[in-house]
Amino acid sequence: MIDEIFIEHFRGFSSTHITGLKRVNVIVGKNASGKTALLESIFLSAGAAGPQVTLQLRALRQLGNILQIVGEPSAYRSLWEDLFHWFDQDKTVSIKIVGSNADSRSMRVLYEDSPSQLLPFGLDASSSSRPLSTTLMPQVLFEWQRGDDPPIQVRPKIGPRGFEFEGASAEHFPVIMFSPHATDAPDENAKRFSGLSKTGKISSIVRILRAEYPFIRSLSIEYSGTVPTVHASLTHNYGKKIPVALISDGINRLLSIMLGIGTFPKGAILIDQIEDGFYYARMPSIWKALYRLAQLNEAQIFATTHSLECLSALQEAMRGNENDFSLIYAQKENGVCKITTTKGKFFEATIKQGFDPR
Amino acid sequence: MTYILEQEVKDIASPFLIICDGYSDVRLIDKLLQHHHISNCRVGCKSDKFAPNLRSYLAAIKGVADLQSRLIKGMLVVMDADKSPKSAFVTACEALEFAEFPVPSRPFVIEELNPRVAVYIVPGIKRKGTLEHLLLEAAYKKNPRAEKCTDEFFRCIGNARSTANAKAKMRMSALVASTCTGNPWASAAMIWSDKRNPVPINSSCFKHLVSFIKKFSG
Repeated sequence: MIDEIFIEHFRGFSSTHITGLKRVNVIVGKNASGKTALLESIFLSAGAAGPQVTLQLRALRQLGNILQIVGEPSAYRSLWEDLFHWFDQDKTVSIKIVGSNADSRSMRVLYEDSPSQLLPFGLDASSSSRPLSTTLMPQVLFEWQRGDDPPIQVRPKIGPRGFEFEGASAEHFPVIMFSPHATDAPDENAKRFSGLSKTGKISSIVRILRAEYPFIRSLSIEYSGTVPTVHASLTHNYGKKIPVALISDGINRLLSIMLGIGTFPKGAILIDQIEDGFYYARMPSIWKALYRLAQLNEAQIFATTHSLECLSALQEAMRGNENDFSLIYAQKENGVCKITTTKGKFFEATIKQGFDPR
Repeated sequence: MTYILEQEVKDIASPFLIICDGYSDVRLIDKLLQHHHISNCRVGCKSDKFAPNLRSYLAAIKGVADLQSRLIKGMLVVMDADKSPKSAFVTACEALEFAEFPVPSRPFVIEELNPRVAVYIVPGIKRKGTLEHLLLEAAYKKNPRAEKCTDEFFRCIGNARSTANAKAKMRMSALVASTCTGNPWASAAMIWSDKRNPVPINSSCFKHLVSFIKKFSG
């Protein structure tokens, strides 16, 4: 479980140290206060798949998922500039997460001192078609490190076939991120469902989903066209199974999150705008269900919200288990994001005072 | 006004906080802070609507201070002794502990912990009673005749079986009703807004409380 996070020069953060993290961490704050960036910092430091995760984040931020690669230094730098605080790429992005068992992961993004990419590429030096000039390209370096192990370095380079990531991929710390702008592909959910089913771990998820939505009789994997998809058998649907995604966005999202928790035990479950898609009256039991599942799987939830209803629902859900909850407050002061935290047991009293952290 | 927004805690505007048992105590301390130009303290109390007990009020202060990165340098809890100064002290300590503030070892002692912490029991050292006892003392000192009159009034129409605290409240009400002509039904909290208020804020009866607050916030 993550206990502390150190962030330097990342997105809106200049320098911040976050402590007091618990099993369920609810992140609140106004727009552009750094809530999503905090989730992204955890996602990046987990080093799931190398620098390409930064490109996934671009897609989650709705910056598009197609990159046009141009062999110019400024274009190359623009691909990574949003990672750097105030776009200042002379600094080093540094994120460190420290776990409860003193296990730590750190991640750095920086430019190497001397440009090492030479463009254009692929031309034979002896050829008469030798270019008149070449361009020295800057080289960004991604570095992941677990504890005191030697760091793993990855350099994204522009090659003849597009992007190439030179270097080994870092070891994967279990992490999954849910964005309101992107739902998991149906086959991803099916894959996770199947994986959990094979290991006998799907029943708790199905039970929770059925308790929440009693009209769901059972879940199974069926093909929807050529794509394996989680289907539900409904009490009022004459036995015909239909894809969960077709029943409701909210149910599909809850299922996705629960499958994520089940598939990434001891991992970090990052949920941006948790209330998205859920009927407000369901929130207390949804919080309870996610907390229960996180406990069961020793997972840790980081969820952002703008909804007061969602926060009120949380108070109900955490009663008696306040020590497992933390409220994280993101604020922006003079253009710099700042994070403060308080314990679950103070959260209810704070909100009752009319303190509105949204 | 130096008290924390009457009821709600939305910001911790001063480093030294004085948390009272009730609104009447808040108003007295607010007046004392103003009268003695003590500007680095804020005073507040629980309220039925926002924080029904001392515990939840202190928890709210802790939560707001955490979230707003406010440094609390001192926390003084002012309790009414009522029947038992000892149990008032225990209640204060339990609430401080719940809100993860340090706990003083005994009342009327300012302990240099992190933050500085103290519990003051009204009406004062080794005394039972409530705020009204302290207010009456100040009023009677200014106007000794009032003591005889309110005693006489109580003997005539009061209930002999009333508790000491109830008697003090009755005496206070009788005194206020007969002097605060603009607001004869004023409670102990509201007397300060009436010019004929029988309790002088500069009374020497508040000397111990004031010097304690000065030491606490100094």
